[in-house]
Amino acid sequence: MKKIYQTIGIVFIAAFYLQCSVEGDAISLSNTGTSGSLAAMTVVGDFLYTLDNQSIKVFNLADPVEPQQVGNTIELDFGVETMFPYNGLLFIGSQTGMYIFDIDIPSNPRLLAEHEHFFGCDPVVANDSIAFVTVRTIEGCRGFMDFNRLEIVNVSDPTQPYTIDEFDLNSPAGLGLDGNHLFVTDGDAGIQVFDVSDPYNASIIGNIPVNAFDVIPLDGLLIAVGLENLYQFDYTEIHNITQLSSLQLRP
Amino acid sequence: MKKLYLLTSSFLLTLLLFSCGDEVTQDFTVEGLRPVYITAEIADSVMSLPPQPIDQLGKIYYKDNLLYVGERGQGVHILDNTNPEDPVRMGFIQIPGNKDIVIKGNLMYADNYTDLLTIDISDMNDVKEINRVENVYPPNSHAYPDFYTGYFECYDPAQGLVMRWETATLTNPACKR
Repeated sequence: MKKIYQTIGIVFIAAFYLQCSVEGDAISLSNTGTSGSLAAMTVVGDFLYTLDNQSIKVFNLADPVEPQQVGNTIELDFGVETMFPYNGLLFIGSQTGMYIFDIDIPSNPRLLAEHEHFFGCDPVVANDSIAFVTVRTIEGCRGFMDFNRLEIVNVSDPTQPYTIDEFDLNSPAGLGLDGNHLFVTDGDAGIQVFDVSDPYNASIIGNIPVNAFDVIPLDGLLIAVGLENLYQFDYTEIHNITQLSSLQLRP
Repeated sequence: MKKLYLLTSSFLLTLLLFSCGDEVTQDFTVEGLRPVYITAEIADSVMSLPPQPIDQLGKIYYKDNLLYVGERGQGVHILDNTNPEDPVRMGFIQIPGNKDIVIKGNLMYADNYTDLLTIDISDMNDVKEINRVENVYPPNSHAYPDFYTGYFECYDPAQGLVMRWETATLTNPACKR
């Protein structure tokens, strides 16, 4: 039944709330850059992961000029769209939910879980780690299902993810996390700013009134892209976000 | 009676299906997207260009004070973002059919329709394709618009490859997402 809802546009990011303070040496990305949340290609260490609508491929970059495919192509249900690596895990956003892979052995991603949408919440337990997922839907033929929302998912045991909270939004698409602050692009409703310091009691603490579909938060600098415009904001004071530039790129 | 009931409900069901747009009995028009095609001859031409106008922005990537902003299906705008209050448009890397890039050192990996390219970007004004892995992506990857819900004109392979999707008023579109 879930499939009839014709969900699209799942993107997500994950946040890990470690007990002790560990400096971010999880992935050595010093030589690579930062993707927006809609990325479907990523480099982790010396491996390149590509995602098409229905599969993942892994390439060894031992010779960085000539990527060599390793392992088998991993077939998934049609409709996978985004990819986000974190700390030995690879999160895949699809039209029906979220896949979580273990990439401790980079050439051989191992499926740990598939978290489908529209299930009720499981009992709440103490959290170590959280994934944030946006779900955007269209009007189905069989009724006007409305599932535009942000889901907050406990992935502390990545084999047993479960939803801990949901926010109904307008048209959520891209999202970006910096520490306690989560930015969610929400179509005409602007960019929603969440305080997620306690992911069990997340709340909207601000709104940036621009229509964007993806963001990258970079230590106080928020880069937001809309179809025809690129915006930048200073969010070092989270309650006083100021626009730095708006680059209307049309001629 | 039971038979009549069955007949009636199947009739109603048929009506319901018709109302869903699975079949149409008269023309209907709707706002949607239609493909803009590119010929096979230029579908693999990767090069540096001066700053290009925006049509439909795509994904974003940031590295070393440079901002890479995708132009859906056409390539990547390069901006010098050393001063975020005044980003400077440096140029454009043409990569037909492109959706994603990732950069490692001076190498950019990018999809170009079905292929995965390695592009040397050490000189941003003269980037060079230095490797091509063929058939990484399935041929149907461009058959419908990404991150879009609604009607669109179905892809016709006879017309070439889809470079991008433009908004249009469609008559009886058979494809929907």
